[in-house]
Amino acid sequence: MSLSVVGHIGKGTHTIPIDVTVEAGEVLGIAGRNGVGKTTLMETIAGIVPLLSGSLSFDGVTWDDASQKVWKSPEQRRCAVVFQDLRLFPHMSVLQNVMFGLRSRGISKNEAQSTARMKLDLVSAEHLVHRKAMGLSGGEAQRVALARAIAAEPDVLLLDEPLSAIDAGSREQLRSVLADVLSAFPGVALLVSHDAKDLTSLATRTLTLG
Amino acid sequence: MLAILFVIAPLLSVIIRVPWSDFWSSLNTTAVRQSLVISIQTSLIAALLAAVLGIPLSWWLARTNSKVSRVIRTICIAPMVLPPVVAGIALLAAFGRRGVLGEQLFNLWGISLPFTKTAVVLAQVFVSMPFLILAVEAAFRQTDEGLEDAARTLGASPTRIFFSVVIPSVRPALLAGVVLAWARSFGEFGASITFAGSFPGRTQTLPMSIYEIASYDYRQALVVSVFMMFVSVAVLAGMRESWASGRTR
Repeated sequence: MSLSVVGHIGKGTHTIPIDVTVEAGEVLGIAGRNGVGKTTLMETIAGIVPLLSGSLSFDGVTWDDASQKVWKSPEQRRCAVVFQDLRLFPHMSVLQNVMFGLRSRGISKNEAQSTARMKLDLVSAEHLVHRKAMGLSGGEAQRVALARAIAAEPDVLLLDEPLSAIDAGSREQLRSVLADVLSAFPGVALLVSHDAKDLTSLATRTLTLG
Repeated sequence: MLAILFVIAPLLSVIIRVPWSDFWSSLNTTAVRQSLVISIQTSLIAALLAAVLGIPLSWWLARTNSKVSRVIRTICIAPMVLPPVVAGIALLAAFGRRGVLGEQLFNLWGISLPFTKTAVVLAQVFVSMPFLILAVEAAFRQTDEGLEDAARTLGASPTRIFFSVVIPSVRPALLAGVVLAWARSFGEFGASITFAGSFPGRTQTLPMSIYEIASYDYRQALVVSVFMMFVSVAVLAGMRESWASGRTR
């Protein structure tokens, strides 16, 4: 299993060339200055933004290729994203947030609930299950977003600055949680960070954009 | 100051002039009871229909920005500024026995809409839906599309996203839209009396009943008016209450 992106990504007039292949089990760190297109790369892989040219494929299946008119929508891609702004569903409880991906794929309520609790346990957030997503602190919300992403059992895990919204103390803690999650993750993972320490401790190799 | 006085004076005057001693006996007549039941039935169905029809339309209007959608928005909002009697005439022209669509309805299925309870509901939906569309479309425009993207990456279908992510985020506006549409339907007079007539026990709603009563018993008309006023204001106050609490949540 591998993910490959070859071509140009971008939004509007800003385009950047890209040529990268990531194998399952790898964690590719993405570095680069602000505004260079790190988040755009994540959104392109997830299917929120189309590739400008070239081809994006996973495990031999093309997801996005304008010249071949191939386009797989986000819900067909099995990419889970921890967005930089998290994007938890504010009106739902923590448990409902984490169950969302499982329920969307037709998994029964009971099974989704127990899986969700397990994943919350994995990120040390099991005590938050019944809280509303809206009132969580930065660190709590970050954990829940991580649990929601891995609960969906994705092939590709995209982490956009997953440690940026947290104060220094809990940052160390969450970094070790993240390290455990990533080492147990069987698919392809990409990690965007502006912090060299995150990249050296979590990524298996790093690509610098721009 | 003058504005407040101008609004309050008529409302207060009704209350002052109401013959409180025979309040209950004036309300508790067959005609009033019958028309109250019809008003409640028709206005609730109308608000529900306005929501069922108006919500998808508002969603489409919020998410498309073409010349066509702008024209359609203007047309759909128009009944709000139309004189109600004109709305009634327009409905007759469309759904009347010899109306553009009504003639077909009658010839094909033997359905005749004018002067039925269905006609009352149609007239109410016609004039009240714009209120719902205005409230709900504005809310749809302000929803966070990032949340929808997140839901899509988690494998949610468009229908699931609409019902479990979008709708909950516009709930206060939705509630306000439905209540406004209901209030407009509850008070509807001009369009429905033109299109449905004022037949006691069949199509006569409370406002029509007041109009009729006023022609022979002004005092009783005052009582029924003040009753309608209380109901409307109570609902409005209740809505503001839930709106405020929805915002602080």
